[in-house]
Amino acid sequence: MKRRGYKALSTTALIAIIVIIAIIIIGGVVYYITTQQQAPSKIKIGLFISNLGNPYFVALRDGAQAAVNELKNKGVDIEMEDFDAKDDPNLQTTQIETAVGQGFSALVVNPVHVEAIQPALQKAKDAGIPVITTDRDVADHTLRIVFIGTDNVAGAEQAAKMLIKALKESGKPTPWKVVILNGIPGTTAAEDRKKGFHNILDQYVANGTVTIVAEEVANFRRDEGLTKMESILAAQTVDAVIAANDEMALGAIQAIEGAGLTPGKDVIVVGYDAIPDAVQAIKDGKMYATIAQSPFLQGYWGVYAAYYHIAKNWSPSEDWIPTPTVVVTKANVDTFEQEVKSPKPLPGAPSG
Amino acid sequence: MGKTGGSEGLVDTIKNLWSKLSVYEEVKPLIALIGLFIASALLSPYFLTSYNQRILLLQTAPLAMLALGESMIILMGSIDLSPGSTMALAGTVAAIVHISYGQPLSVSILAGMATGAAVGFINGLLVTKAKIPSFVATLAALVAGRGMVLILTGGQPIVGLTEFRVFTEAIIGLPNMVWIFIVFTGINLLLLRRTSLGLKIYSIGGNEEAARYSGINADLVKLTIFTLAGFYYSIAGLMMNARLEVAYPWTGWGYELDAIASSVLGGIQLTGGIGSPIGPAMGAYILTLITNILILMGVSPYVQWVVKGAVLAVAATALTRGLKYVK
Repeated sequence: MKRRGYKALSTTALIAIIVIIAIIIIGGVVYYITTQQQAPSKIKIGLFISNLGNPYFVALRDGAQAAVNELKNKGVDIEMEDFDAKDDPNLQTTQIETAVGQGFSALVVNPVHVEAIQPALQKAKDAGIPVITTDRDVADHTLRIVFIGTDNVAGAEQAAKMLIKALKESGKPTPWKVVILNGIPGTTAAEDRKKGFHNILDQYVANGTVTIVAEEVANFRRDEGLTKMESILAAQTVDAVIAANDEMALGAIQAIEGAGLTPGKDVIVVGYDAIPDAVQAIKDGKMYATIAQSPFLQGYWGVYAAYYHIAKNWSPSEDWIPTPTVVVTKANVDTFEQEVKSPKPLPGAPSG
Repeated sequence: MGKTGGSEGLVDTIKNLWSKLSVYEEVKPLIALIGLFIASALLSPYFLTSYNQRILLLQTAPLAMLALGESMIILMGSIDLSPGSTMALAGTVAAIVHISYGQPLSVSILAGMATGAAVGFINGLLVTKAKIPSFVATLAALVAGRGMVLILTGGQPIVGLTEFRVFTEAIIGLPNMVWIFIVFTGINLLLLRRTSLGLKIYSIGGNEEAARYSGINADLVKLTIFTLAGFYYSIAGLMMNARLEVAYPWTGWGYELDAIASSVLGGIQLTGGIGSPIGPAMGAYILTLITNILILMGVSPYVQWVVKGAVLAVAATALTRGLKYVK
């Protein structure tokens, strides 16, 4: 009895194993055929975002999705899959490496770090998959076909021009005493914005209309903006503050109020980034202007650049396609978000 | 002959006075503070203005709270790397309770304090029960605490904390938060000098093995002090809420090092067991003063860091003179 029981069991097991193997083989063949049929016509784009918890990058994703939808409406067989690295370079590396094995046609990458993900991008390059970087670039430019991101020098120049405009309107006597608050030394954004401020302000310093009474590092932070500005106000009368981001500008506003002065009237404040708090401060008249970047266009142009490269064999003539910055003041504080979220054609795009 | 004798007499008197004074551990940091204060007054005409003195105290208050908490832990021979994250978490929780849940200011302040104490309690458990060295346990709290702040805030500041102005409003010429840190400095003095708990803290820091053999429940003391320190940090977090009128997610980033530096400047030995209870508050004031005077003088921001580092090294050297060895 026992022996027969075993035999019966082993026969059942044998049949089960054969069936399972058959299903796997048939399934694999069917999957292989179907994917092979799709591959030539379908464009599959991978979008790798550093952190979707940040509204800035959500706008970037929305822009990319808008471009994909537009192309679909034109009858292009295109789809996009997005990945959130949660600011973790290891996770982004894994995501890119996995995607390289999945047969994506192009990767639009917003790197977590300028160097950390380069080995992963090298794998994409070896596999012949084109890469486009957005918002942040990678150090080795040969790993991507083009970088699409903000021209921070130009944005900072716009901010400095707004500062001069506000000072002229205020009728304050010259020389105007200006404070500059810089970001974390060595970061691209901080260095570019500092350069942009000086490009404009140095001309006015040279002809004696502006004196830079203090130039401090507040590391892009609101609490440091507050304490640094407090100490500056102890030694100087200040007509205007220009900060390399809104957090520092808002800290400065807090210090100005703490010193019994009125921000916007006694001291003019200009920031950068157009974060929600700063937009509110502009509405309240405490901040004169800030600079909005265009993450939407970074995503939108990223997808178009990938599409033109694959479908029309297009290569950009420039190494970097700068995305525009928009000055936000009381005049356009309610409408600027529409302005930065409206699609514009990719500069240098092929016709048709 | 008589002349030399007279000057020798003066030198002797000074030596005598010094040997009497140097019994008090507060003397060295106090001399450093007074010296720097006078030097600053000579270096910048703006230093002594009432506005500048006011902001100096305002800027000192949160750091002093961190340093007072940190120093109790250092006195036990442990270290705490979590002050910056704990203050941010406490401030964030208080803001959320106040803004998102619409609770009155008093309730939100209590919630913030409870959060700080809870973080400290967990640190204490990790050190005493899980037997993780305090450096590692509180490093975990530093990282995880900041992560929780970022999760709770989504990386965006929580705005509308105008009611927290009670901390910055003035009574008898000084903002309330300055009074708070002065009161807590007094509490530390009483706790460490006049209670048996204070004695136990010093004896654990001096020789933990000996303290344990003599019947001191060192684990209970550590748990208590870590919790108390967490509570101190939470007050610093509430002060920062008041200063910025928002709960800023990066509040206190890197402040653990300032808290340790303040303790060292205040004469607390990192090996534990030695140091004045009120020294850290002076250390916090010194550190704030250095930052302030460098800005008043318009020193380049890059040079400022070098000067701060040099002052710290020089001060620490002066404070450890006379010790046989350090760890």
